[in-house]
Amino acid sequence: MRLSKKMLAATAAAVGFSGVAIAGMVQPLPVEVNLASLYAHGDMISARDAPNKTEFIGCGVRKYDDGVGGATAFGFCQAEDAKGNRAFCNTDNEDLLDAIEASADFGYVSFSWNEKTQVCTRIGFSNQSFYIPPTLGSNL
Amino acid sequence: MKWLVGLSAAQTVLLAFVALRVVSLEMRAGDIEDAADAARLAAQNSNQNAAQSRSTLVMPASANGASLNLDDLRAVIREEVAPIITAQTRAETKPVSAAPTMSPAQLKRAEADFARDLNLARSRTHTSEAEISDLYAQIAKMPPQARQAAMTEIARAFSNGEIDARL
Repeated sequence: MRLSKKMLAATAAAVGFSGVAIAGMVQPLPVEVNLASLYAHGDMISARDAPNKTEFIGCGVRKYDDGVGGATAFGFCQAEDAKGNRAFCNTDNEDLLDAIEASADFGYVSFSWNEKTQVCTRIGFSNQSFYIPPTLGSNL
Repeated sequence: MKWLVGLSAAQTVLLAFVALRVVSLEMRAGDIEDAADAARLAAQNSNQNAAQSRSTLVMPASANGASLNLDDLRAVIREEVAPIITAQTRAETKPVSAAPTMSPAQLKRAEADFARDLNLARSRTHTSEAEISDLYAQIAKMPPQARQAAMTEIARAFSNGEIDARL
């Protein structure tokens, strides 16, 4: 009986440690809005799991009928950090719109903007394993 | 056993015969293909020569008395078709985000409507996605310069926290 308890404890410890060992690299990057350098970045999961109700980051696209048989697409990126610094830029540049549409569900987002026009000047995404939440499951 | 060996030898001889026939057929097919290519080339040359001689032929006189040859006709057709092709190409390459044009009066009204709706959004504690979409829909109908100014306005309102909306 004593032996089986020891074995149970060892098994539990092994399972616990193995869970830590196979989690892979994680790299949380809380949202940072830098109003001096005009850029914002952060990863979506860290923003979603942030211990506050302000942090968020992301980009989106909307397309509208232009009234003359065509369509106009607007892309935008927005973010707010834990300190309440907020950034918002938008764009109708087709290359930047392509960049937004190539983004993935979970990942690192980074963007810059022009202070005068508030137009996005750079939009970046990085889809890496270390940004994916562990709750999605394991393939091991 | 002897019977099997004999059968096997006969099979081998037959296979060799079939292989030889295949090789000879392939050679004949190659010869036929070469002959067909030569005939095609000859036909092309003869067509070209005929076309050249036709193009120098004087055509019947036109209504105003001037005579036209094939080169003249080609030039006329080219001239007529060019604008159609240009228009078609322009339509095909028209950018998705090509902005509409507005008369000064229409533009003034559009800008005033946008400013009014943006101020309305600013005055609310929370603005719905539909209301923001409506603002963007208005921007979409503006010509480029006005569109840029409106985009700046709306982005500034978001950045400054004057508009609280979830897009």
